[in-house]
Amino acid sequence: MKGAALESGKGIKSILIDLMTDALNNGAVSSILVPSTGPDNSFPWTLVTDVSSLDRAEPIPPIMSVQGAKALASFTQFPEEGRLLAVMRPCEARAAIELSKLEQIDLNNIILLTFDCPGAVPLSEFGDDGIMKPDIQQSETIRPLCRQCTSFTSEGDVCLTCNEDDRILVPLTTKGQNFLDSLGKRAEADASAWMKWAKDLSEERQKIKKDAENKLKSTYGGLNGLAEFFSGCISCRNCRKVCPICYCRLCFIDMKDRRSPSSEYLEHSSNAGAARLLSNTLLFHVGRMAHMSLSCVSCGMCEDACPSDIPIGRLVSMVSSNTTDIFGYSAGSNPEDPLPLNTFQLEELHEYED
Amino acid sequence: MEIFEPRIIGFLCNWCSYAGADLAGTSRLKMPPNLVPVKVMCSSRVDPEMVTDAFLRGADGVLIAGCHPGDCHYDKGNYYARRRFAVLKKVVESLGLEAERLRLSWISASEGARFQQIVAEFTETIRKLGPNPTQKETLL
Repeated sequence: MKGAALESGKGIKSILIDLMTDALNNGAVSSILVPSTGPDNSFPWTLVTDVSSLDRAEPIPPIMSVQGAKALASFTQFPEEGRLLAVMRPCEARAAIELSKLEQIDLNNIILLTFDCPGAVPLSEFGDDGIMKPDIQQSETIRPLCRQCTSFTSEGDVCLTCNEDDRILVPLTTKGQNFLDSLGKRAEADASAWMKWAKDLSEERQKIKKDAENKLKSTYGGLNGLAEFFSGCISCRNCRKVCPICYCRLCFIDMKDRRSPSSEYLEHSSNAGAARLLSNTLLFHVGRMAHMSLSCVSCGMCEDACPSDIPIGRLVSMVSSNTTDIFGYSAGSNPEDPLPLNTFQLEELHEYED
Repeated sequence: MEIFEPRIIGFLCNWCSYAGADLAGTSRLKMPPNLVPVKVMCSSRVDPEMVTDAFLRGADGVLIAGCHPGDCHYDKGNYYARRRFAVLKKVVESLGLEAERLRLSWISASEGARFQQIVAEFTETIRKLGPNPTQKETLL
């Protein structure tokens, strides 16, 4: 893999800001979507059209505030004559690609720029006072799901890679290549050292992921274990609200006709001794996983948003690896791969039918 | 001791499997009375949430039945149904729940005998598995 060499040894943030400034100045793009610093250590997404506003840009904030793909999905088609550069984490770029397949984002005039993601600090541990900076080498500071993330780089159209002092901008798609061309940069630098670093880290993370999943599995088992796993759920549906993939305007669980006559709950209660109300906690979580796990990008927003500290993101992510395995699908990796539920083969899955 | 009579929900497609069930009835084929049929227009109409709901509300088994691959009234609905079913089954399995309580079968309008056989067989499988544990679970 080859890319354009940028100023070696320079901080990643400054390199990204230089890139954004360049891209706006020479007209390669007309606007940029990037998080900016707000009051009280907040990092809202901003649509920047003026170079002077890039002063406040914070392309790699320590926390994930709103999933970047959600920010992209908040508007309809981008104008034909403009070009938007979205600077986001790899999981956000993958969610954007999933949402484009789900027809919620039109990526036509949008360039997704990613970087070697250091992970994010858990929202609950991020206070106004001591800013915790995520550090890819110091894994205990980042969220559990980030620690086991294997897709921490080279997603989207173009990726800024940082291995030791090398700073290389690697185009990943034709759109990414065109972006480099419009900046007058040529992909001539060899990025193999970075590729090796990424491969090694990915393999290491794969092991961490397997261990973590085994540990997670031991925390629930069978129906009773699963019910206990979700016993703290307060039905706030925050996990769904912040999930980039859950875009439906009306969720099955919110349908009003879902209420049953009290006799049904009384019958359940007389069988079980007592019956939980609200009665649809497991239905919500299992149903949600059946609906969205194929497109889950393991961004961990759901877990960050859970006020009851349920490791929901790790559970959904584990289920998602199992469901995507059926079709050899990887959410958000390849824009050309169709969504598994939008296609089929005549001869397949015979073990599921009779 | 009380004898366990499984309650099985059967989502049957209007064009093939429901007609197959009808044929089994008009042909007076004997089968266990444990399956409660729900007519749907196509097997692909069955959202995983409907199956999950039936399962969590105490159905001992859930059967989805549709036209044989290649015979779908809507051309390809059953192929999509098969993919959705595979995903649901994998989710249920991954969560340590009893995936063997869910079944997808193809039954054509002329296969009354096959309908009878599948109902008898599935009822037996579920009888062996015993009652759905959700009935005794407080924290659903």
